[in-house]
Amino acid sequence: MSDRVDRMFDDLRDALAVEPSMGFAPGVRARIAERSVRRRRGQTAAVGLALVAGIGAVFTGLPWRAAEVSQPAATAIRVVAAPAAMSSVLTEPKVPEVAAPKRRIAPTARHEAMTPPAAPLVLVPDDQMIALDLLLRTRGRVALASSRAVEAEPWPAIEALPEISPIEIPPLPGTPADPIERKPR
Amino acid sequence: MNEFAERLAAPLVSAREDTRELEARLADSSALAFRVAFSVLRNREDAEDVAQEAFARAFQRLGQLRDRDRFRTWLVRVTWRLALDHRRGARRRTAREDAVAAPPVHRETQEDRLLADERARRLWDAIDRLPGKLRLVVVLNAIEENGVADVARLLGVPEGTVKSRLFDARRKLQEWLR
Repeated sequence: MSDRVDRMFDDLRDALAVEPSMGFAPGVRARIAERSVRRRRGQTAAVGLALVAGIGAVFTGLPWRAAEVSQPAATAIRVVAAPAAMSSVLTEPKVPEVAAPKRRIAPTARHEAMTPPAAPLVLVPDDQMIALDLLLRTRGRVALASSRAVEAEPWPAIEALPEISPIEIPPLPGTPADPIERKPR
Repeated sequence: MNEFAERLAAPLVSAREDTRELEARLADSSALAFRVAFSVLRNREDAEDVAQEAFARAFQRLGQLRDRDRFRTWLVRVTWRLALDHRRGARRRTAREDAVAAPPVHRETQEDRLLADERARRLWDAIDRLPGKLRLVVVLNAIEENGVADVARLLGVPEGTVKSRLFDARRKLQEWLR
């Protein structure tokens, strides 16, 4: 019986004494070359995508930032009155009676109601701080402190808020003074 | 300046070294990969295809190997796994080349040829019935007449493990041939 197994092992050795064809090595080389080309293409595509994303972010971010500086800042100053929430998260109560909001807050009537009348504050979300700061600087006023510095203060108050009066635009000649004025039927 | 030039030329030098290494590995291990694949697939074309793929994969990951001397070990593993996958996927459509798998001995008569074919069929049936670990040891032992130490090195296992697996395989084959 052992002879039969031995013979089987011998047969197996004979059966496996096969050699690859002449095309084996070129085939391997071609596969490796193809893979490296594919990998390089993938890397190039990834770099290209990252570049496009970066450029896109720059070009879409700039006008957004400019709009933020030019428009809503004035509104923010005029809205006024809200608890000291210049940072996005308030962790400690600024006033003993008023519990600090846990999440990012927007200027709402409730916050206005919570504000002590003696110390009017401007509620400015972080992303609008830059706009507000810029606006005040351009008007020669004292710039706002950063949100961290404001947080450190118990009740940072903005004294002497700039008076922003609405700009009146004279009507163009030949147009009605009120553009939405209804025509008489 | 020299340093700058060296830095510029570094990728080229590395590519040349890679090419040299690939050629050395090809000369050293092509047959091994092909035979391992052939032991599973028993079809020259399929075996060559799988062995080429395994070689390309193993070589491309050569940089990840801590011990580059273990390339052959890795190659055997990759080839074996790919060949098994390939066979599983192509079992229905692949016609096995039993004739090719048969011992390449010149046969004088029709009767001799029939007997040899029958022996080859029984051989591969028996090998296929062995559990994977035992089968790989038997096959590697049969390829290039690797000794126990060579097989142990190829598989990255102790020699005692190889011996016991060979013993188990032999015992099972004896049972089946009874």
